Amino acid sequence: MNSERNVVFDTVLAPLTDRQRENVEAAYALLEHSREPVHRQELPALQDPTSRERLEQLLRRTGRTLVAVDDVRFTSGYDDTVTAELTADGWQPLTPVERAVLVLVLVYSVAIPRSEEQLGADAWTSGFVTTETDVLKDGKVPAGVGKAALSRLVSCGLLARRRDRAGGEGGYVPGPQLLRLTPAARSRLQDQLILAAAPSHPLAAAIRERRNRTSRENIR
Amino acid sequence: MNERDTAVWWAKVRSGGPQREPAGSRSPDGMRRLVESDAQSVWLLAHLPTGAGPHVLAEYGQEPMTLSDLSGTLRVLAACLRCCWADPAADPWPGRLAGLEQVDTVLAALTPGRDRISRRRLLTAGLRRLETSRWVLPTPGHVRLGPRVSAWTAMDLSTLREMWRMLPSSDHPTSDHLQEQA
Amino acid sequence: MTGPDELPFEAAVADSTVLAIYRQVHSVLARTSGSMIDDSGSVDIDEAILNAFALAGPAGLTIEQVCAACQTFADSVVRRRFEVLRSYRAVSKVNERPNEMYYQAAFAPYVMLLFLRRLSHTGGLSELHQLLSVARLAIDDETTTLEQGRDHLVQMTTVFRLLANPIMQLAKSGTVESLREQAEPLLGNQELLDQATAYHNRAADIWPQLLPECTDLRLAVAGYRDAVAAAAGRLIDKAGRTRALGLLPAERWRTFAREADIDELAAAVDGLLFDAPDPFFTAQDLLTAVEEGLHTDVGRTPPPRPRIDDGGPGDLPNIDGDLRLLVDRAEEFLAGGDKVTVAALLAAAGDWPSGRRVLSDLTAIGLRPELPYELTWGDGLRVDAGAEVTWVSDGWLRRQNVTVAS
Repeated sequence: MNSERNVVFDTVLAPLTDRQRENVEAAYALLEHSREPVHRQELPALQDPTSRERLEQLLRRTGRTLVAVDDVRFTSGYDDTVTAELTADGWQPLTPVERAVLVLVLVYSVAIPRSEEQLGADAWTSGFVTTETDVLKDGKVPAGVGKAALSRLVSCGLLARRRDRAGGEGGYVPGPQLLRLTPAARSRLQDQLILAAAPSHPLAAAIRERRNRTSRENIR
Repeated sequence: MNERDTAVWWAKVRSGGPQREPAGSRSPDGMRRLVESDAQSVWLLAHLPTGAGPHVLAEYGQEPMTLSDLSGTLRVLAACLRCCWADPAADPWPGRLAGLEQVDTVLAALTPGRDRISRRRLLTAGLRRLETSRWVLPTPGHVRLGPRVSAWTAMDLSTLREMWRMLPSSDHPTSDHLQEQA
Repeated sequence: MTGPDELPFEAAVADSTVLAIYRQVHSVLARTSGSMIDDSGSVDIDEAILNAFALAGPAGLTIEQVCAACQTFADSVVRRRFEVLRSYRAVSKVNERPNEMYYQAAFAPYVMLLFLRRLSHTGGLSELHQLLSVARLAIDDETTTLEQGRDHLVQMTTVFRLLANPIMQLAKSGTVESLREQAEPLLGNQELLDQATAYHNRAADIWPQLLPECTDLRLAVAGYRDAVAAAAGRLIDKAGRTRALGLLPAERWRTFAREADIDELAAAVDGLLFDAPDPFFTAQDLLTAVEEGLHTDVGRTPPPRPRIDDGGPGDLPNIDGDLRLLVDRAEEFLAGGDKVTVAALLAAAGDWPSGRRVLSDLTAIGLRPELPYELTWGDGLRVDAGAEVTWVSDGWLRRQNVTVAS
């Protein structure tokens, strides 16, 4: 069943040697399918400029881009322009409840600890647990729907479950998929959380101002 | 379809899972096109060379995305395969529709020690988990295989045929000890 | 007397917030005597002294009694603060006669103290809100004279100028760190601007004669708005990808989580795209799950398969601390074997608390499919009224990848 060729791969990788091609394909597989970011040692294709250029082209042709998580670890994420085009057309596979639940976890696990100066790294990951009670307590998400949303968000890696050994409730933290966000997507998430939580705060005004400035520059 | 549209389609499938489109729609480059049994629609899903697919992770010791209760979910999928894969000499897709009672009978053989209620719970939860990634397509009372099964290689399929033979047929429950004990 | 020489400002910078406000207010109060509280700890001592007087009743207290009531502070420190309070007449003799030993306290210093505490928490913004409200109400009050209206306008103009100046200075040339540190109280809020604008508009309507004062206020408010916008813009530009979240107070986030509806919450991820769940199963994964399922069947005796994974649990990739503890516990239970009954483990545990611990650990192990162990339960129930644990359900902990003939 798996015999047909992939014309995108064939075209992009045509100029490479067999060895280079193998490395680029393996790098594509690791970046695209690993649960966690991959150490650059596992990605020889990044060291060779020709291979790297082809890898990046391959990612771009499939709507993706290389994302550096830190100095040594890499993953892949959506190409910002592709995301913009799809979402502008109204494409959003997550249901409103799933998105709301994700945002609640980001508020409890990232925004609040950030405001209380308990988080160090400038990242969307966090060890601060959001309990199921945190998500369901205000009653805006019906319990059954909320639990199903939590479970689906876990299965796609947007959240991770944390069990509490002491027999407590345990809960959820932001999952490894958030490391796939490009720098632009990470900023966008930060900006939109502020716009949603404090629309009349001067910070929100500054964000709107910056967006207008950027879109004016893009038109120019 | 130009490069840009192709890239957008790949992102659409990555974010939304395999997409079902009218039969006449164009195929983005590098995508697999699976015709539905009624020939009215097609499934579009990413088609990766074996060297760029998720198989590669194991060689590098990298963890793939997993599901909760992985072995339970796999047993549900195996039971679906046994019931929906009509002719193991052919490809599993599109296969045939199977009743949930049939699937449950096979699942009973794979989950001894579970009573009917806990097995039902496993079946429901497993089908839901498998459905979100289109490994199966459940309808009320029934299930059939999803387009995702087309990603298995020829080598995978030979292993799966072996598995298919190991499983009891749902039409003829084999022996008493596979029956419900309670 | 406490003077700047004894307690230099530098020594007390740690308590800068409380101190800053305290000094500002005291600079007004203390200008005649030159003595000024210079460390925030003094506020606590003053409070303790005033509390002691409150509890003492009309008879008052001697210095010795005050010291005894404030035992948590050193005698000498309490005496020094007592002298300061006395010099401001916050504490005075019960009767003005030469040999009077008893003192009583006035209420005003305590009210001032409460006011300072509050100011140090809110940065003065809530007081500003109240002043604006009072000024706004005064416009419609028939007894307010034009002169009083003019005074209010001038005062508010001064407040907004003083608020705007340091923010603009920070936004233009302060370090981002100092800007961030002071961001929360400085940035203020839209409400304040709205309130000031409403006050201005009403004043301009009622008192056309005060047009120049109104214009000054309008410019001062606009200046404040510009300064805040400049500071916010600089902060956002330098905030990285998540740090700006910390610029909103935690309480703002809690309110958002509590009060926003589903659509408002969901809007925060508008324009972002996430991966659908896409677990991949190899044929081998399926085969293994099926074989394990078939072979746990009691009554079957398939030939033992060789262990696929000869490595011990130490070879498990990437397991976190909690899992590691569970692996250790499972190995402890199995004690080198491949299978053990729950009944045997409970019997070995002895008493009920230990047995309960065994059960909860077994359940935790059984709930982690990524671990190579399996917990299965049968339907039988063994009852032994004489044992510590009086009933035991049939159950087994097994090592996976190993077929055990039962």
